[in-house]
Order: sequence, then C-alpha cells, then structure tokens
Amino acid sequence: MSMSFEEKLAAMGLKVPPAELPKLEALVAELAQAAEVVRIARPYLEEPQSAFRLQRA
Amino acid sequence: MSELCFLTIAEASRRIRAGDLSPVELAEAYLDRIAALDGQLNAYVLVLREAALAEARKAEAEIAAGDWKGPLHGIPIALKDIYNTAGIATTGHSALFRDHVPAEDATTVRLLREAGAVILGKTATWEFAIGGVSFDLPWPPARNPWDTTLDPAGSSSGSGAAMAAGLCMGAMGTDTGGSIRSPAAWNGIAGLKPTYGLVSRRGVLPLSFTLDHAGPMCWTAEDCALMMQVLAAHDPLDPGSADPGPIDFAGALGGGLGGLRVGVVRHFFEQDAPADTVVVDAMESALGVLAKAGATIRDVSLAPLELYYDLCNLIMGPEAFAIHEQGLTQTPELYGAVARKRISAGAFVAGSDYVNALRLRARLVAQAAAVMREVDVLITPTRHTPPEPLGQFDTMMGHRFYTRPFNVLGLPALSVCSGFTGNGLPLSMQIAGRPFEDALVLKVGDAFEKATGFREIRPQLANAAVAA
Repeated sequence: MSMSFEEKLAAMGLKVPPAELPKLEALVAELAQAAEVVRIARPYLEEPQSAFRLQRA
Repeated sequence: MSELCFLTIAEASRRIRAGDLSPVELAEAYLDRIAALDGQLNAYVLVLREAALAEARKAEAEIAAGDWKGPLHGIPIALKDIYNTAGIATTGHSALFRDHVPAEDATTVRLLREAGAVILGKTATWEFAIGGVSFDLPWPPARNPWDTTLDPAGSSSGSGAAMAAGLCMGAMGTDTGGSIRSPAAWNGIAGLKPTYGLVSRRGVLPLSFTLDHAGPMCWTAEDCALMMQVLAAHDPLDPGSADPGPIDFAGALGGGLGGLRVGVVRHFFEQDAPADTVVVDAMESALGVLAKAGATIRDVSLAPLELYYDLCNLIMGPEAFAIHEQGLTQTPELYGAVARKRISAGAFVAGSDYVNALRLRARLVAQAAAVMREVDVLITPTRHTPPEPLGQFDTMMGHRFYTRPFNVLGLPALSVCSGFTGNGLPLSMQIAGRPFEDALVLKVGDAFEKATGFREIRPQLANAAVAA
C-alpha cells in the first residue's frame, strides 16, 4: 500500500502546516518531473561533476 | 552630503588616496543616509554605526600615516546577512539564527577588513538565501529603490537595494541560482557571480555546496573588479576553493573590444523562456554597442534552459535539505513558510537522481566548453522582465530566467544595467565567460557601461532631500 504525501512527510520527520501542503506537493511533483530527465542511458564510467579532491599534506 | 553616497569606489578611492576625501566623512554620510532612507527600503537588518565609524577613523589615520592598503581602504561596504561576522549576529534573515553570533569572520570579510574596508552593516536576504519574498520573518523584506512597491529580487535583495539607493558603496552577495545577478538586474547595478571556487565561501551560511558562489555587487563593473582584486584568493579552508594564480581584474579593464567574439544564447530568451519585448529590445541595442566597440556577434546554442533548471533543482534540493534537515525536523516553526516549503521539497529527491544530475552536469560543462572555443563571452538578458510588484513574483514555480545555467556550469557571469523602461525601471544584460576569465567578463561590462549613459541615472527616493 503506497503512502500518502502526508505520511511520507511524517516518515521523514517533517512537519508542514496543512495550508502549505498543496504548494509543497506541487514543488515535489516538479522535482519528480526533473528527475525523469536524468534517468537516461549513460556510459557506465561517466563520473559526476563534483570531484573528490585531496590535498597533499 | 548625499553626493558622496553616489561616488563609485574608483572615484572615492582616488580622492581618499589623494587626501581629498575623509573616510570618516564618507562613513558618516552613508550612516546618515541609511538613517534617513532605509525605513522605506528595509535594505539593512543591522547597521553597525559605531563600529563603522571606528573603522573609518582607523582607515583615516592609516592613510594619513602613509599606509594606504589599496582601493578599498576607507570604502563603506555592506554584507548580506549570511556572511559570518565575528561577534556580530549573522541571522540568515531567519528566526532560527536570530541569536547566531559567529566567533570568526568569513574569509571574505577578513579579506575586506585587511584591505581597509569599512563594514556598514548586514543586509536583508531571502531566508537562508532561498526563501523568496516573505512577510512572516523577524525582519521585513527589502524593497526596490526605483519604486518601493516593487521587488528588488533576491536573494541578495538588501545588498542590491542598498547599492542602488546609495546606502553603501559596494556590497557582498551570494549566488546559488542567480541571487547576485537577479537583484543586480532589478536594482540596475552590476553584480558578478565569479567562477566557482574563485572567491571563498568559508564562513558564508551554505545553501548548496556545489552551486554556491560569493561575489561583489557594485554600481559599476569597474568597482566589481576592484573588489575582486581583494576577494579572489585561494582558501584552503573552503573545499571548493580553486587556485588559478594571480588575476589582474582592474588592470584588464579598458583597451576596447576589438577582436572580441560574442556569442548570443538567443534560444534562451526567444524560444525557451521568451523575455519581454522591452528586455529584448535593450538586449539588441546593447549588442549594437558591443559591435561598435569592435566585437563580432553571432548566435550560439547551449542545452535548453529547462534542462539547466532541472539539474539546478535536483542538485540544490537535496544539498539544501541536507543542511537544513535538523532545523526542519526539530524546529520547523522557526522557518518562514516559503523557505520551509522550498527546502523541504529537497527531501523527496532520490540519491540516484542527485548523482545522475551531477553526471549530466559534467556533460553540460563539456558542451559549454566546446561552444566557448568558438566565442569569448556569452550574452543573454539577466531577467526576462523589469522589476515586478513585491510579493507577486513566485520564486518557486514556473518562472524562468537566464541565470541558473551559469551556476550549473560554474562560469563567471556578470549582470549589468542595459537600459530602462519607458517609466524608468532598470533592464539587464548578462555577460558570461570561460572559467577564471572573470577579468574579461568585467572588461566587457566596463566597456559597455562606459559607452552608454546608464550609470548616470540613479533612483529618486522620496524624501531623499532629507538625507542631503
């Protein structure tokens, strides 16, 4: 059984006033749409832009 | 004494060095003008009157003794209230940080102090640099000095408003998705988002570690160059800090634009998110000015604007939530409604989507680098419209303008005033360059400003005579 939006918020420990829920849900929907864009086929070795860099001591 | 408050840093610095202008007199002029006018603008959340006067007196004594530290010595500067200041509250414009008093200055604040700058105070921001115009915070939102019913844009809203209104001579902003350049655009000033890593973010309240930039907001590109001369320094305490070696920002100015290759990212503002006609017309006129100065102009293509927005949202969302998770789960009532919603949404981004956004970001960086082998700078408008009514512009949904691509790409990007609407509101142009070619971006902005008369026009605040 899938969780409601309010249940998902509660599971993450987030408390958002009811009046703010519609806008927050719309923002989350926009992010879900954006996520579809990055779920594409890509080379196995493609690295993310953020790099882990160490400095010589 | 209000005419002192409309000098540029370059002009004031020459006069201070020559002994023709007293840093104390200058600081007093600004502090009096702030006292007289900021009630209309709410640009400052904290004015440091006594400390600023003490710093000005110290600067005056040093200069009189022959110890001139450089162009910022004795220059009054404002700090967005997310820059840590030792012993002085740094609130992020939030009730959550109302009593936050850092022990140390941010690296950039330390550099400014070492250069002899006079810190006037802390300026209004959207809550934690992300919220939007909010009326449920401990301090009211800043207003636009060109028309106080209008939005100064954000998140560096107070810095932009103070700069345009003559309430500081230079200001510090931060830019995660356009928060230096948007208020620069809507306040008619110059604002530089430097190359990622060129200016330290150590001690600046973070929003998104891989998208945050710190940078100057001034009346002119030349003044931004003078500030960058001090601000650009490798900082081993900032993991994102780069070390490109010395850059002569001020020395690069002047000399014309002969041979400059300008690429216009026309699809951004004609197809992807059409700008208002008045914005596009100003853009075309500005391109004519650059061509007359010797530049060659051509259209170029980057990825669609929407893709940059998608990546920016997928990266900023979880990074911001990671920073604020503790506050949002333990004391959500201490956030304003806008920031609470915007930051909470980031909790819903899957880890794999975040990482894959960063992988796609690498492709866009490579694509832009290829385009910039053919042109030296990219040009777009900064904002798609002139300033809009305060509280009307929805920062969260739908609206698209042209700053975010350069946060995703990390490239230097400068907003300058490109003209005015028929009723006197500022319009904007954005100039972006290759990594660490911030000096070229500033040179182009400076050449444009000096070829036009837009820097002669200041907002006329009601009751401004009171401060004269």
